[in-house]
Amino acid sequence: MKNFAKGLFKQNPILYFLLGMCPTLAVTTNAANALTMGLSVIFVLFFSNAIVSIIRKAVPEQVRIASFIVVIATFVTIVDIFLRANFPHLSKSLGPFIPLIVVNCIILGRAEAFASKHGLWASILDALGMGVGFTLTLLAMGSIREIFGMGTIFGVPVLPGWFPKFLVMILPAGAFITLGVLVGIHRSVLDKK
Amino acid sequence: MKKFLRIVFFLILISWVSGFLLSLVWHNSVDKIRRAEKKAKIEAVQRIFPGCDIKEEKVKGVEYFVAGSNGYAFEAKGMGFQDEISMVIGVPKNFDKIAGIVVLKTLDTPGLGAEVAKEKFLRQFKSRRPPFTAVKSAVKKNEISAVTGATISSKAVCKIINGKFAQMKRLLKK
Repeated sequence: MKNFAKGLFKQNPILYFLLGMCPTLAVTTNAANALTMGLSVIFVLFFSNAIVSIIRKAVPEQVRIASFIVVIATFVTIVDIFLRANFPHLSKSLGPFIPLIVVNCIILGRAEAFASKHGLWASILDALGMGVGFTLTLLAMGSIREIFGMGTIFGVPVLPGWFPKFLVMILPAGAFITLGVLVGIHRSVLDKK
Repeated sequence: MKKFLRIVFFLILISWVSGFLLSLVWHNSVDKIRRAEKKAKIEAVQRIFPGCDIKEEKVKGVEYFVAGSNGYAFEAKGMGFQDEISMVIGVPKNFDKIAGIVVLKTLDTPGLGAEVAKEKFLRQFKSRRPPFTAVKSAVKKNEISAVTGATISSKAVCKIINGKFAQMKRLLKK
């Protein structure tokens, strides 16, 4: 259970390790994009951690990173094809960021630091914990940015009409501001404990 | 030597499994992807010719769309700055101007090259007659103001439009 829970808050991949910054900053312009990216990463992370953990004893030491990347790239391509076939609009708005999950350092990071050293069960829990932590943080960022930037969440209006829309929130600067505030809150909560 | 063989064998095996899995997934999704792409194309034609009956036709193996009595539309592709740019071009039946352009896909730099997909750039082509040239700031009749910092993408779009327009005019204009 510890393997699952640590990724949610204490060792949250975004807020604690500051990994995966590229998708974090780029695709959180609204909640739907953030959720799709998060779910895609959970899928890839789950299977890459599981496979890496299964083959960890067979992988020759010298080519382990190359082998892990092949495993990761396979599942990323599956996600990409799946989204293009079933959700063409989401696939279009996420653009190159789905194929770029291949180089998302959370996934290779977990494969190298955890799955290649632990058993299947622990690796799966680790993947789910890290994936859910990543998704929740993305979702928080996407929601905050969408609410303040456009007054909606998942496209549904939530703010009264007189409330001003801060366009900066859906621009890159808004991503940095939101991330900074979230990391700050996370740090101060951890410090209090 | 034994170690060497083990590495080679392992990498071949893992790549083979990966390739097999991917071809399986691709095989099962390719129809759906083609259908989604076709739908996006037809939606683009409808944006250029709103409320028209869209029919798909072929002339000498080249696909195009007929939008009621209003005009034709066809897909044009060509190399952009980083990858292929594809778009749908709409023209009236007598080919005397561009009725509208919708960019379907570009992987050029967001904020620079990708701006050629935006209405601000594309509306310059509307109601004007190719061939176009992309220049810094347009003065002459067939000149288009390039997106600042994205001359290559802007020129590519002009080139794609000019080429396809000439080709379809040859094929379709009676």
